[in-house]
Amino acid sequence: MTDDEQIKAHFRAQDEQAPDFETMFKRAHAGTAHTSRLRQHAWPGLAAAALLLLVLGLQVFRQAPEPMPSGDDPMMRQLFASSHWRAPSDTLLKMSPTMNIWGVPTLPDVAPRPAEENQP
Amino acid sequence: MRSDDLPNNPNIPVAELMALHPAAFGWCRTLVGQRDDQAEDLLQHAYALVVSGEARFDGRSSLQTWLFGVLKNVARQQARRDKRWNPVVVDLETLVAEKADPPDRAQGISASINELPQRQREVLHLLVYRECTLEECARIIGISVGSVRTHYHRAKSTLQKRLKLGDEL
Repeated sequence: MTDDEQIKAHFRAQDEQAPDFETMFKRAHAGTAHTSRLRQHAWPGLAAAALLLLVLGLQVFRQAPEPMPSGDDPMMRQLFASSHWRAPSDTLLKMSPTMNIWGVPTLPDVAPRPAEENQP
Repeated sequence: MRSDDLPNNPNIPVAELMALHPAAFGWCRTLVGQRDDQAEDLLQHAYALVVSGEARFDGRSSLQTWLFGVLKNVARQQARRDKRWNPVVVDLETLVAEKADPPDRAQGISASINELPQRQREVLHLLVYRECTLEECARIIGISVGSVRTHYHRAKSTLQKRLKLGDEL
């Protein structure tokens, strides 16, 4: 066998290892059919899901609570000014400087020692 | 197999495609570098394109030229993808065995062909084995006729150097 023939034989050996045509062709058909089925059936489902999400999102957005009024709200400031309401901390702290606003003592109620006792 | 098996590609006679199947697989092997599984994947992908009509044959060239061109394009896309994600795997055992036992003439020719650069191997396959014209070869691979000629001469001189072939190519 000449070298030219051996080169051809090398490539021919590649051809001879080909898998079955029918199997591959059917698989290609099945793959295409599967893809087209997906295309046909998936789009309506995806569209319905997107619509549902949109409706739900709108509902949630509509039912969202109003934001809490901040201290700078002019309407709230007017409301406080017109009433007799005072902040509890104002009065409680005046009654006892050692109590916090809940009436709990924050400092020990002990008189300080005379200054001379502290001398060595 | 029925004649209406390819409604998206009515210009392709299925019997002719079936006759080309072994040659198409051999071409895939040349394109992917002797890896059977990748060659089969490549051919399967190309058949899917043919069946779906994404690759459409309009009869302007021979079916073989067109199919080989489709395979080359698919291989190019896959190679681009694999280059990004797959590391190059070297079979050390095969390399050691090849160094230890010098191959006979046929094995030596096969090994030398496999060691050629990709483009030279493709040109050799089409010109020597498939006996395509320079123009067909250029169209399939997507390069100029001049480049085909250059790659062919380089492949030939490399093989001659390695194997001390005669001037019969």
